[in-house]
Amino acid sequence: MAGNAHSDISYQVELFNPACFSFPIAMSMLNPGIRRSNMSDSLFIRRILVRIAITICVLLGRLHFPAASANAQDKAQQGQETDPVRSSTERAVEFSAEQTEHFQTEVVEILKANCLKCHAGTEPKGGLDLTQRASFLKGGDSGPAFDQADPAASLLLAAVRYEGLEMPPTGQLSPKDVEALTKWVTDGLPWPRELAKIEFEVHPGPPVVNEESKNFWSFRKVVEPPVPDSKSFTGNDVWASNEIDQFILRKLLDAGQTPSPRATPQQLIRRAYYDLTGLPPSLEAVHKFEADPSPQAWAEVIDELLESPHYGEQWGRHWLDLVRYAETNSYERDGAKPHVWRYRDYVIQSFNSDKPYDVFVREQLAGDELENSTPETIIATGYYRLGRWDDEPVDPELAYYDDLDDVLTTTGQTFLGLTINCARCHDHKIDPIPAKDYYRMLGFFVNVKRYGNRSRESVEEASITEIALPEDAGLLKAALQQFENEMAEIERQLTKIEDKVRPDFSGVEIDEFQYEENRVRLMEKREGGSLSKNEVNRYRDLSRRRTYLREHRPSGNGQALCVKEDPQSGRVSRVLLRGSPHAHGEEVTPGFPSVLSPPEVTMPEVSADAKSSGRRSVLASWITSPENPLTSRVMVNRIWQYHFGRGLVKTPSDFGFQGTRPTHPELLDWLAARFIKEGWSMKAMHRLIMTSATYQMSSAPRDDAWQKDPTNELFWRFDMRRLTAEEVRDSILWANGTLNRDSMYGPSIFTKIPREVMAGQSQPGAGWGDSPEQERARRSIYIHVKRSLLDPVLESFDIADTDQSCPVRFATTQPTQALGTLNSEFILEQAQKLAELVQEETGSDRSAQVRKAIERVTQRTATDEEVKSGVQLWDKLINEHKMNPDLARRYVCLTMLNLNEFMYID
Amino acid sequence: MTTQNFCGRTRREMLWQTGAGFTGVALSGLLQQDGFFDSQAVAADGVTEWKNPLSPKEPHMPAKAKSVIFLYMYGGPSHMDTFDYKPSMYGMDGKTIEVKTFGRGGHRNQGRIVEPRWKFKQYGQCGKWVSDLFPNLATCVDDIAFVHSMTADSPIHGSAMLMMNSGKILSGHPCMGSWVTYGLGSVNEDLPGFVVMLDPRGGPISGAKNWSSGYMPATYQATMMRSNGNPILDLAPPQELGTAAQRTLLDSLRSYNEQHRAPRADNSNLAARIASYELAFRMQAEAPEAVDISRETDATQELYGMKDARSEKFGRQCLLARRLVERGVRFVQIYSGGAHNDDNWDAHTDMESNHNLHAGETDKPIAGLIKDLKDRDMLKDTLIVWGGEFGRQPTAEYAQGSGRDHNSYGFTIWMAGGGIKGGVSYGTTDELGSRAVDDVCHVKHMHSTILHQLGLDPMKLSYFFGGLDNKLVGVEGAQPIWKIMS
Repeated sequence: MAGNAHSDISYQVELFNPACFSFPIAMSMLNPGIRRSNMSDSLFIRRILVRIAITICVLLGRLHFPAASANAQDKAQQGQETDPVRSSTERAVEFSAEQTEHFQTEVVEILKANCLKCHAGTEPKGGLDLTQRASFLKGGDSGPAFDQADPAASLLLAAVRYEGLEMPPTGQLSPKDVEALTKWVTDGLPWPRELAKIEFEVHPGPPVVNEESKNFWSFRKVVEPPVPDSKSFTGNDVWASNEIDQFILRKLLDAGQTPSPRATPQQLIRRAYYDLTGLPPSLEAVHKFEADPSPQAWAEVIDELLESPHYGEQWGRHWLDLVRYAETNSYERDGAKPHVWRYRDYVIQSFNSDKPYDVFVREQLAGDELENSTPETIIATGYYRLGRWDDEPVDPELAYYDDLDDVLTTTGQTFLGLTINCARCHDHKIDPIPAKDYYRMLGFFVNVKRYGNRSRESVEEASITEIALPEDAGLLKAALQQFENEMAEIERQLTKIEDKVRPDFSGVEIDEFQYEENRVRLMEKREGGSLSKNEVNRYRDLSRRRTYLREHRPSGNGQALCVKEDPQSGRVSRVLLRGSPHAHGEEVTPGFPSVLSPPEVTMPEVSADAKSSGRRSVLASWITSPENPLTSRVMVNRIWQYHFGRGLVKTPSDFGFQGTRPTHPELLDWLAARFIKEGWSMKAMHRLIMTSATYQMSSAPRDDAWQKDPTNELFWRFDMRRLTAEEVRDSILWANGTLNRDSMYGPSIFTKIPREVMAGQSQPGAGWGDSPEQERARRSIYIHVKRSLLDPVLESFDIADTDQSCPVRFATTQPTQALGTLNSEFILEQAQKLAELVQEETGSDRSAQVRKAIERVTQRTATDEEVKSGVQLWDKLINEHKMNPDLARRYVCLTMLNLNEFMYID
Repeated sequence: MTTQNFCGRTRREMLWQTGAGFTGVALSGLLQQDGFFDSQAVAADGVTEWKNPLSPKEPHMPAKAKSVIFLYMYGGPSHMDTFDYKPSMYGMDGKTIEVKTFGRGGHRNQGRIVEPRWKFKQYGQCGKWVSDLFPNLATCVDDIAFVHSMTADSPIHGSAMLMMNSGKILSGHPCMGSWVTYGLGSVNEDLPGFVVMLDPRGGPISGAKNWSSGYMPATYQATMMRSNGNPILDLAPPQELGTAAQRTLLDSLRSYNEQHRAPRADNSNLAARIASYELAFRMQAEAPEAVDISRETDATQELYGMKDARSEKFGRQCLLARRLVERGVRFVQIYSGGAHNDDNWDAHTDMESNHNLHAGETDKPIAGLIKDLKDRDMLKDTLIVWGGEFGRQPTAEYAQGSGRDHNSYGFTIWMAGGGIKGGVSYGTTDELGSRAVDDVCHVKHMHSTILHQLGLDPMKLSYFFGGLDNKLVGVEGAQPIWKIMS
């Protein structure tokens, strides 16, 4: 009768722990148990306890009619041998049509919806199979479900009434369902003669690791496949420009399709600029390319863009999506992560310097353990510090594992395209990843210190380190001295004010004072009382100054958010039963998912004074090994996805059984092999992809091809795409000439967030600062990412989820976006700036101004007709709506900022 | 070896992990079988005809409730001082007893009893005991089902609020209103489907995380609505422009966009974006009308306590909630209490001053809302939910004073309307209210009940993300609380 896979555990909980809903146990109730193959000793003991508990229940339940029950069981067993439906003593029993009808229309549905998931198949839970009538009589480990002598006393009914047994474990069935079951049972289990068994497809259970599953396409080693022979492309051979095209063309021709022609030069260059830098080309660049759109000129455009520092900003942002980059911790205080921006800068610089992908991965996972570790590689390990952090966890041990799970989830999905995280509470239901493999993987991280333990000081201890960057030591020393002095002075003055009020703190305030975020508010409450207005103001200003200084420690030397270990922690990795940190299973050694046929793991010796266990280096070495079947496949697929809008595998973070199969498996493997051969160079991959004819195809529809393949599975054309959130905002600023794109790196900036949005915070404005106008006009990647307060422009256009790895952005269309791009203070300000720009650059002629505005947003020469329409709008606003001409200009420009052509790339 | 087709995951994985960006062959056919995925899938595949993801969808089964009004008592109202009558606590004030508690002050094994500072009286035909904190609301008990045996996973505001709103103590999951609008859309496409109204003193801690759509698209997150001034962010066209001129602008924009679309007619996203401007334009007209309560009679305003300065603000929000629900808004959440400490129900220091304030602000408005909905025959399909993230302990938090610490081992929520039985009390806590003992319910049973009343099967309403079919009620599911249904 169970509704889920671990009903036996919940009996135990109900019987032995009356406070069963305290979190850890509730959690254990809700997570399936570890199965068969890896049942540990302690689980075994638990099972015995469960059995005992059940037996007690059964005995209690049988007190009334022990003999009848036993009798029924015997008879049921006898009956089963001869008649699958009736027991021998029941031969003569006939049910009315109404009764069997009731069974078939109501009871079967109830059983299917609530019971059979567990109580069917070859290994039903508790030995109880509920698909055959005879098996109701026979029962399971708890005895017969049906009591022939006294049907009303049947165990089945007691269980659904939650008397003794409680089934299903998800909560009591509706009274209607209970009533239907009661009628059926008291009628004597009416069952149509012709129905031997209720048909029910039982989920076959988790896939196992065996030769077959190891041979799954993505778990096999990458073998470079041969490139399809271009000689076979009769008539189309001129189209193909490199190997990618040969793979693509082969499939198209096989499907009776042909590739689309090359896009126009204007479309192409706009596509390339956005793709590599997230910004549009200038009209001059477009014209230059239009004058010579040769393959050579195209290659030069690509080279130029790859050298642009903005390349790293665009592609770095893709990476930040994957590692769920954010600069605060979420939860009540949502405090800022100190120095986290250095990780963002590290990512941008890594892309710009074309750091080999294997090095990039290794630095993030184990940059602190490298022999030649540098400030840069230490900053890279900020990777471990990007996630949520509950500074006031309800269960600290659970929080420790939740945090590690967050790292393992992200690591598995991002680098390996595997949802290892699904094996935390039970064997993975769909992939051949046993729970044991999850805990073996976790073994690489168990020594990692938790981000912190409440206080700022604890965060500094666990997650922040001094780094020395090579700059003028003398100057630096002086600057640092000054910095330290000022900080000390600020602290002194703050403490002085605090000391005045600390004695009158009552209860809750004493707790609150521990968190720096609360202190200003506590002081404000005392304005006019124990503190003067001046003192409160002073306190506020000093606090702000302190926050600012912390983020602006003299550069050249500084601090970094990074991983730290406690290799002497004595922590070992154990299987946690049902994921519960309080239910320890067997101890496991660190290891890789077994289905990937990994090498044996040899752990480095750890000296007594070691700062780190070296375990993460072992993990990094395996992930970046050319032998790893997933790493290169997953990354080239991502690169492909960011170029084309979707990957060859459409589920870029899931290459397991439940992911989609590649549309072009040979091409994917060929690219994966090539990636490694080219030294894991991402820029080489961009060049290869972008110089293919496939990339250069037009996005225009073609009826014939569209009919056969409307969703472009085979890449018969290039797909249009909407700009991403950052591209939308950056392009608006670019169009009006105010984008401050030269200012790169450093602490994040604060945009203007409307008061109405801030009103959603418990302390409006808390954790959000002001940046000067010039700073506010920087690219979106530099906007402070506060988990509980997102810039509304970016949020509305689907920026990445901040809490979990985001492999693909949404591209929603909703009316609130239109409200924002028509009415918001932000857009009106930007439209005004565009109006000023077109006026300055073209003078008083309206046609010329409209032309300029259109060209600023579309990066092409405007047609006369379009210009005419714009002038007409302008005239109407003046004549019909009595607007002054300057104001009308602003709204003509606003119109242009709303064009679909502005928001979409061909 | 299981590969494809386990619960249809492959297809969903494809839809969701690609951000509904690109979809498979014969997609539209597949989607028709699976009503919950169509709206989003077509939002961006560029092929299927676009439909507003918030357009109404058929529920799984006949619905009892069309809309939900969730009155969120932020901070955690005390159950033994409001609706969970504990006669044996009277006369016990100051007595030290053994009782296990867990709150922000950690685990404790004993404490000093704080006798409830209010008297209880019996009301209605059902004879429900209600404290003097709610003299008006008490007259509605025959329409209310109280659940006294609620439990939650955390007694800490941050995680407990996330749990009440999203079913999880970890940040990053969609909240109930998102699930509901994802499952049902909204009847009125000219208004947001999911609206949240905040206490004028400020938002709750964790702010927008409490009404976020988590890993679902932003389409399903709540729209903050204000009861005064411009109700929705960026709703009003700039004054210098005005609606008529904006219409001219939109016509011009449309003609540009149609021109751009002509050679790209196969791409439905372009048409969708054109349509979204018309929707926005209609919203501009519709929303101010919806919040214009000047059309309500004096008697109605009085009923909601709007003539009393103390309850005016919450009364206005309750009245607004009725007007929104009347116009088809699916899920309205109103926060009583904001910011920190005694600005909300978080009575750590002095029970009396705290609860007198917050109950005083909300008692009449909530009673007014129930009565008004009933008068208009709307209560039958509007589900009202009242509650906070947890309750409070029977014992004092500090050596001095009557303040109580948090309690997630047992607390009270109530529901009314929308197919909920009136005059019922379900579940019990022990004689001190320290923990739930009978018919123990978890937050997810409450979530399950709400979804069920809306015609959604809590076990079927799922969203594929991160390798998992996520559900509001957890992957294992939870049955609704059947016994409070009419």
